[in-house]
Amino acid sequence: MSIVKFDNVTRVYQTGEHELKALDHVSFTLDEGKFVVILGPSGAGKSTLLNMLGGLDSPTEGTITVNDKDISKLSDNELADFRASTVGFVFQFYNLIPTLTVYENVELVSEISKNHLDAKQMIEEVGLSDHLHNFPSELSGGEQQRVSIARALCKNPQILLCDEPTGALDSETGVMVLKLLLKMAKSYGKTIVIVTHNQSIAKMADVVIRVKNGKIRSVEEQENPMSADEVEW
Amino acid sequence: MRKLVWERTKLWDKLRFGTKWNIRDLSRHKSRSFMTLFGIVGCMVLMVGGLGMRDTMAGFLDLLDKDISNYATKVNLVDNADSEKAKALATELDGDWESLTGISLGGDTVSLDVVHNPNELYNIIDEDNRRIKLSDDGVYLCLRLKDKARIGEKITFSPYGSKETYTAKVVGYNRSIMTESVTISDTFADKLGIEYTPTAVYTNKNINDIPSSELIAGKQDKAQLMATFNSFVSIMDGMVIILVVAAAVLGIVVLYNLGIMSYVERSRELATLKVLGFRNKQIDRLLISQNLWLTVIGVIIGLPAGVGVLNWLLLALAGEYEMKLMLGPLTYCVSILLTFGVSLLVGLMVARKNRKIDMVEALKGTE
Repeated sequence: MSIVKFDNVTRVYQTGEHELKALDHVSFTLDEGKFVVILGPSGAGKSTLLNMLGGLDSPTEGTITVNDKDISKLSDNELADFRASTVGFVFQFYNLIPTLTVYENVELVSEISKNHLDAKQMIEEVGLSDHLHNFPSELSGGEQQRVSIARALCKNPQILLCDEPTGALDSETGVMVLKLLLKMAKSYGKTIVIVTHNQSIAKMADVVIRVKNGKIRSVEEQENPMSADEVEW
Repeated sequence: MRKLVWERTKLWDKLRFGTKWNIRDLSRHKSRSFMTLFGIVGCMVLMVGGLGMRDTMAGFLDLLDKDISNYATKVNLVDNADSEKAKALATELDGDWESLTGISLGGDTVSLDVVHNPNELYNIIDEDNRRIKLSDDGVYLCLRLKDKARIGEKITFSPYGSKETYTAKVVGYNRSIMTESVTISDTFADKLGIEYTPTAVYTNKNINDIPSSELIAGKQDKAQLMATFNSFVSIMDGMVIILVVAAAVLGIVVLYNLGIMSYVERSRELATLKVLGFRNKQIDRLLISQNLWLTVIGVIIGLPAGVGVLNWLLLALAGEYEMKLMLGPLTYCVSILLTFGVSLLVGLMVARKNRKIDMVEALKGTE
C-alpha cells in the first residue's frame, strides 16, 4: 500500500536574480513499511526531497500526498500538526535541545503528540538508560544520535525521515547507529527513508531512489537487501 | 551543563517542558536575564517615581489646602501688635490665630508657633497627616527636630534675644511644611508664662469683607495662592507624562534588544521545536512566558525600589517641606499595567520573528 506519493513535484529557490531548481518534476511512490534510501551526490536535491516529504518545505509546483492527504498546500499550523503526528526526523547533527536532559529531550514530544510512546522505554531501547539525566553535551556523537532516534520514535510517527544520520559519526559508530535505527524501525513497523551519499547503506534498502541534478534517475526495488553484517563498510 | 539545586527535587520532574526550558535558559544566560530584569526594574522605577512624584505633590497641596490651611484669607498682623486687640480682631473675624517668634533650642534658632485654633481654620498635623488637637500640657516638635527629644522628655528653650528659659515636656511630633518649629497651644503658652503677640489671623471671611485696621499689615487670599501652586502641578503633569513615556520607550528598547539576542541564540532550538511539530503559537507562548516571569520579578523589585528612590529624593531635595510620600492606587496600577504592557508588546514583537525562522536553514551547519 502506498503511503507517500510525489506527483510532478518541482521546487525552485529564488536567490536574487538566480533561480535554482532543486527538484525538477519529480514523481514516485513509496510503500508502507519499506526501508527506502535516497541516494545521490551532494547538491542533487536529496535533502530538499526529504524536507518536502516531512512538511518542512512546500513544493513550487506539483502535489505531495501522504496517507491520501495532499500536504503541499497546508497552512503552517496544519503542517506543524502533520509533522507532530506523522513524521519523525533524525538529522545529521542530532539537533537536541542543549538545555534539556536526555529524558527531557525525548519526553518533550508528549507536548505535541497524542499517541506518543513512553519516553523512558524509548531511551531504554536505544541503550541510554544510564544517561537519562545527562545533558547532550555530556554524550558522544553516537549517543546523541541515539537520543534523537528515541525522540523521533517516541512520537510514534508512521514515517522516519533521516538526513545523513551517520554523516557526523565515525564509520564504526555510524554502523552501530544505523543498525539500531533499522532494528527499531522494523520492530515498530515504521516506513523509513534515509537520505545519504553512502553506497553501502543503499545495499541494505528495500528501495533505492537515485537522484541527480534535481531529477530522479532510477527507482530500484531490491529483492534481497543485504543485512548490515553482510555489507562492507 | 551544571545541574541546579532545585533540579534534583521531585517537583522539577513534574514541571512542564516549557517551564524547564525557560528556567534553564534563564540560568544559563545569567547576564542576559539580569539585564532584562534590570530593564524592567528601571522601567518600573521611572514610572513609580514619576507618577508618585505627581501624587505626592498633588497630595501635599491637597493637604495644605484642606487640612492645614482650612481658611479663606490669612491676615498678617503688624509687628508688636497689641495682644488683646489682635485677639479681639480674631474673634471679630471668627478666626484662629498664631504667633510665630524665634527661639533658641539647644543652640539652634527655630520658630515657636503659639496656636489658638478653636475653629480649625489653621491646623497642626501629625506624621500621618491627621489633625492634632493640641494638648495643653506640652510642646510638639516638627519632624526635622525629631532627634532633639523623645516623647515624654523635656526640652529647654529661650525666646530669641531673651535670657529667660522655659522647660516643657514633648507630647508629640508634627509635620511642619514651612518652618522648623516648636508648636504649643496658647493655653500652654499662658501656663508657661511666655509672652507673645499674634502674628497672623486665619479667617473664612472673603478678603474684601475684612474691615481695615491699623493692626493689619497685609492680607493673603488662599485661593489665589493655591491657583499658583496648582499651575505648577500642571507643568509637572507634562513632565511626568514625558517621564512615563520615556520609561516605556526605554523598556521597549532594552527588552527588544535583549529579546532579539535571546532569539538569535536560540533560533536553532526554536527551529528544532518547529520541526518536531510545535505550532508557532506554542513557541510564542514559550518565549512570552519567559518575558512575563522576568516582568513579575521585575515589578516586585521595581515597585518598592521606585518608592524608595522617590522617598530618598524627597528627603534629599525637599527635606524642609517635610513631605510625606503619597502614592495613589492609580499610580501602582498604571505602573504595573504599563510595565506588563511593555513586556508583552516586546514579547509579541520577538515572537513574530519566530514565525520567520527558516527551519531548513536553521538546522543546517555544524554545531
